[in-house]
Amino acid sequence: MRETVRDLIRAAGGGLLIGLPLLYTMEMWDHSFLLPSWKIVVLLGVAFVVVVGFSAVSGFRRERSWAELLIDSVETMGIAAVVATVAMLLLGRIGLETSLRDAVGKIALEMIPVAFGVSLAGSQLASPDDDPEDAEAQGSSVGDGAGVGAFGRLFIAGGGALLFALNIAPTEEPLLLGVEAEWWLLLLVIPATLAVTFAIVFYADFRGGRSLDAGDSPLDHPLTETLAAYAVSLLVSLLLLWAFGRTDGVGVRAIIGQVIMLAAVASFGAAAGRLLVGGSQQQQQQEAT
Amino acid sequence: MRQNWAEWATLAVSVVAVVGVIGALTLDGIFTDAGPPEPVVELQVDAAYQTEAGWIVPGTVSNDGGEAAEAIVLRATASVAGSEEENEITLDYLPAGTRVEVSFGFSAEPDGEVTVQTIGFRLP
Repeated sequence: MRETVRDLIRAAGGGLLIGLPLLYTMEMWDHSFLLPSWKIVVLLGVAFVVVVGFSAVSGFRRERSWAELLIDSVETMGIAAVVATVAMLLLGRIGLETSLRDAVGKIALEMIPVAFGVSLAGSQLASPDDDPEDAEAQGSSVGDGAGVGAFGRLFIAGGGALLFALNIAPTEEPLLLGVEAEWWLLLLVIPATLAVTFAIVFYADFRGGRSLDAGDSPLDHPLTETLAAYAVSLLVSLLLLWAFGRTDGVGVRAIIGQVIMLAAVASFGAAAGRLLVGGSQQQQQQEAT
Repeated sequence: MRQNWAEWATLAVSVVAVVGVIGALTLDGIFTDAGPPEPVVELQVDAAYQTEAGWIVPGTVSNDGGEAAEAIVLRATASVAGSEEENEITLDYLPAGTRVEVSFGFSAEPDGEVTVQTIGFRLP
């Protein structure tokens, strides 16, 4: 019982930790009524898939059935909805004069980053000695993604990319950057992004970083993984720009510019995500040898 | 797995919140006919007041249409002490079904009726 309350408070805390920047972003409030309902539902669906995937991959109560996983994910979204509602009320963004559709739109958009935070709080931010019984199952949360394959890692990369890019995508800056950038500047941004993310994951010796050894899968090689994670980041960027109406009536050249500029941010999230699930396979291999 | 009432309560609230948000949006998407924006201005002439800078007439702008309007320009016209006075305000956004409070200023109390015209707006 006390445990549950503590879990809930940690979940709300984690949600706010990640969600606060976007709770304070004007474009997020405005897009609640600028975006059509179905687009917001699509975004919520994507967020839900990311939350389910993250819970499945991360080392949080690992011995779970699919039903338990889904229930946990619904709870994550529910807690996020409550946190987003309270925050919007306290910030005066939802009041008596706000229409129902506008209010629901704000809650729906704002609960997405909050849900990512709640999801992180459930796994990565939990203190390992939180519950003696859980501790063993949880293991040393960071860097404990045992069983995370190349695809699982790419999925986490996508989640991280979404989380980071979501902070930038609703604002006007990507549009401005993409439209104003010369073609050669964009061509420079791509290798710069690749080099930085490659170095972060495979060279800089962050916790959860990995060595340059290649694994068995073709995607388990530093170069291919960096490229694949970049491709995922490009896709996530395009999805977000489309979702926030930044591609409507915009020329192909400007869309490409925006995607590349936003993907630089998204790639950082993808790298951070991969650091979070860490070098499980390498570690396992090293332990095995 | 769900051992106590607090966990059940969390689950119940979560399901209600998630179903509520997605349900409301889906229903809105399916059933609301997204007509064009229709800004409607209502002035509260009775609530007008004198300031050092002039006469202020408050009012509200609501959007009876189905879509939001952006950068709405409203022009109020009235005759003050025999001469025609005109002033404009711009609203950044006017979401569908939402009411925004506005105020128009005049140099003194207008003689007759204050008329407000929608000059234009952008569609998001």
